[in-house]
Amino acid sequence: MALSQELARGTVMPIVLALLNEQPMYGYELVKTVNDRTNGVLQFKEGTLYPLLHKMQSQRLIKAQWETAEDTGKQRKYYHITSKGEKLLTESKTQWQQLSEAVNVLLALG
Amino acid sequence: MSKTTDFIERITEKLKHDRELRLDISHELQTHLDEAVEEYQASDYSDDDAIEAAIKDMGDAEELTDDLWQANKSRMKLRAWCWIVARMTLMPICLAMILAFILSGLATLGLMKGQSEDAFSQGHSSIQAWVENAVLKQMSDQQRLIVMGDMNARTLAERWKPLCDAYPDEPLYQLNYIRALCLYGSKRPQGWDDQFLKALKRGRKLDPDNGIYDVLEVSMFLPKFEYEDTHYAGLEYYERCGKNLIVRYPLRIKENCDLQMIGNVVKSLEKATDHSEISIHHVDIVAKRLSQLPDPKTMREYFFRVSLAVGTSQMTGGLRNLNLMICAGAVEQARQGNVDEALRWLDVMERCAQKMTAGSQALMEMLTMISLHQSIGLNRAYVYEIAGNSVKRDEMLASLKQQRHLVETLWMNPIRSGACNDKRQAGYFMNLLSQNLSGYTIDYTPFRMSEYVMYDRAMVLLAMILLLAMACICSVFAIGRMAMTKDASRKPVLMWIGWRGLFRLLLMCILCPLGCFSILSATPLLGRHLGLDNNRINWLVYFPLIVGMLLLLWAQGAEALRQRACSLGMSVPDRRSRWWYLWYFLTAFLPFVILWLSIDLTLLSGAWRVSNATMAAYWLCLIITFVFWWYFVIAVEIAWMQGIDKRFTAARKQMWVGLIMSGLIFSLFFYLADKSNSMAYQEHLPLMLISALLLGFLVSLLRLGKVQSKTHLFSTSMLRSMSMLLCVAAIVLGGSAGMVLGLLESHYTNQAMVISSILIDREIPYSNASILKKMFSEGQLPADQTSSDQ
Repeated sequence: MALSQELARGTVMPIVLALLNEQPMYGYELVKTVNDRTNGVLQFKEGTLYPLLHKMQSQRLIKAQWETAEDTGKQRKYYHITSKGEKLLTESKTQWQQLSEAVNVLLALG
Repeated sequence: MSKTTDFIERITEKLKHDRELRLDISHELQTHLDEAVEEYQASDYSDDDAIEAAIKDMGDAEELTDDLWQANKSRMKLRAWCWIVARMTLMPICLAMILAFILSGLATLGLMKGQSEDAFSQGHSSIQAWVENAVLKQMSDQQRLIVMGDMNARTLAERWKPLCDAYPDEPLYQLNYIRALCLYGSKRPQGWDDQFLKALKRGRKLDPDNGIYDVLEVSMFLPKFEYEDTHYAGLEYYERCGKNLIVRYPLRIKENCDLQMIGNVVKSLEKATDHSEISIHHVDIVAKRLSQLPDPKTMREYFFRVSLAVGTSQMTGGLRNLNLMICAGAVEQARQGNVDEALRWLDVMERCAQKMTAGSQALMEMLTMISLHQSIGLNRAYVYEIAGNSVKRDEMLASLKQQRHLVETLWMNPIRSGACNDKRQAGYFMNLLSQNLSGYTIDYTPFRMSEYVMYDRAMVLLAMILLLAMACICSVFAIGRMAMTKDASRKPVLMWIGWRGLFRLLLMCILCPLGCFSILSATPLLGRHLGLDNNRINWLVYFPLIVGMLLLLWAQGAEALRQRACSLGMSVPDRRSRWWYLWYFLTAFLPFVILWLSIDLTLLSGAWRVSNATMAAYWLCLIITFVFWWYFVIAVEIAWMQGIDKRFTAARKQMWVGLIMSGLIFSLFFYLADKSNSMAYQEHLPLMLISALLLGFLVSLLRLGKVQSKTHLFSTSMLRSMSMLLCVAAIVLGGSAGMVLGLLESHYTNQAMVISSILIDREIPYSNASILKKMFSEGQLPADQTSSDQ
């Protein structure tokens, strides 16, 4: 079951940061990883990913670099997380934790 | 066009103002779509279906276009505004620039016109002639006669005869004419003797207290002697480099050594020394001519008049030859055993030179007298040697050596290196020299200083020729390109480089003339003579300009390469590591740094100049440096352009570090050059810098052509870059013409102000002299241009 668009929107940026925190990735890889790991619950609309990446780049949360993949020899634009991005990721995680707990409590009441 | 390309084109349409960003996003989306298509194909989709599916996954194209625009909004908005402003302003600016370029070319043609050998040999460049003609046109015939004499005359004597005849009771004009007659040298026309004697008689009668007529009278005999080895004439008596005393072979008259005739000359000189003064009245003649002109309407007009009047006045003529004759005669007397008579002759010549020094009014006269003193001294030493008096000989040579050293260390060396621009320092030197030359009264005035800058205008002429040649090449090139371009009717001006290239070009047009002129100002024949100082503070301004120029040239070249490579979808397999780039850098700079430090150490240790071999090595190193520099820049640019490896980003960063490093090194270099008064650096470096830069650029492009093995890339990159360089060079040089003219005018003004100060001191009645005096007293003119150095 895919998550509603509205709910997913607010989570995209922390997810991208979290993935890039593991390792630098290129755009297509990001899309694939999210889809694979969430079994399709979270689905990035591929077109929306790139504007987001550019926005995050202009906010200096991530940085991009053209690199050659060692296995295929293809040139790809890899995104790396910056220290600012890491900081935001930590904050987002804490906030998500708090939000999640609060929502769980409220939903349990219902 | 494939479907994916079409799709990418559509969604990046709004980013067209930022070509770099658009290319980057296009490239990224293309790789994304390619991978998606491959995956669909692996899932048994047909080619078309796979492409359709991959595009569909990207979402709505319009939404994506807007999102991409929004994500880069801040950057794109600025670019869009720049784009609009550029569209509105660049075309008029470009047209104005072309118009200015044409005008500059026409001005150059005008300057070239009417250039004669005579004008050149007299130190008048065509620019001067151009300015002078403009001023002279405004004068009446009578006024022109006073200022310039007969302008159509072939010789100086013919030039000044009409003025002499027009004012037969004016002693200064008679003297002026006599001096002009003396300048015929050995090529005297028929009837010269009669003319000369008649003029002398008239001059003596009008100015009986001046012994100059007796001195000039004996110059009649001068062409009748020939000497062996006149080149040295006893003036170069020791080598500059080795500082070893080398006495040249003394003068010897080849034949017809008529000692009786020389004795008569000596008698005439003795008669001259009995007068109260021996003076050529250099400044007085100028002042007299100026005082006869009506009041000028503007100060500028006045300055030009002064400058013209000085430019046409003549220096001392025939005195060195006279000295040769007396010295050679004295040596011959000594050889025949008449040592006392020989010494007496030299004494007479010495007294005469002393009196003339006291009456001299110009630097060149004074320097001539000092060289006469040296010559007489050397011959005196030789006479002592013939007489077997080695003690007196050695005393004399030691004294001469000391004086020569003084001249070189305090005068020749500083003035050549530009350190003697401060007129007070020159005054100090003159006074010091005066103390060391007993019997010589040296009356230093700033006028003498200004006079020094009247010579060696050849570089200006050369620059003008270069300018014209460049203009022609570029015009032909532009026309050719225009003819070959299909859409020439749409954008005839911008077809080579596009709007962005043009924008950079315009920026270069502002920076480069400034930079070029700052470089020109450091050359001894042009800049310094135009009154520009070459000091540390100026270099603080020059250096960023030069660096700015280098960066802009680099940007132009890199942009040309990038555009072409992108349009060709080029892939350059340059796998060199950053250590290679570091190696290039070190290879280029280390030998250069070592060499120039060694040169500096040599110069700082007190040597007057470095050897030719060292200088050649220095030039070579400089060329290598810039060749490698450009190679380095271009190689890194290519690597960056492809964005294949982060190593290249590091290399690019290194390049910046390199630039800063070179900046620091150059700063140190200029500091040391300034400190050591090094003529070698200041004269050669700037010119070499530019030529090496261009050469390096060319070599880099050739190298690039080999790397690519794509002839069209090579040729187009080459053409684009070189055409831009040529265009820039032409515009820069075109612009420089105007600047040179402007500075020439200010040079005239400066020189005239200095001369005016002399006129004021002498209380010459001339209306504008009083205006200037008032300006001096109110402190509106620089204090060091007054005659306070005495």
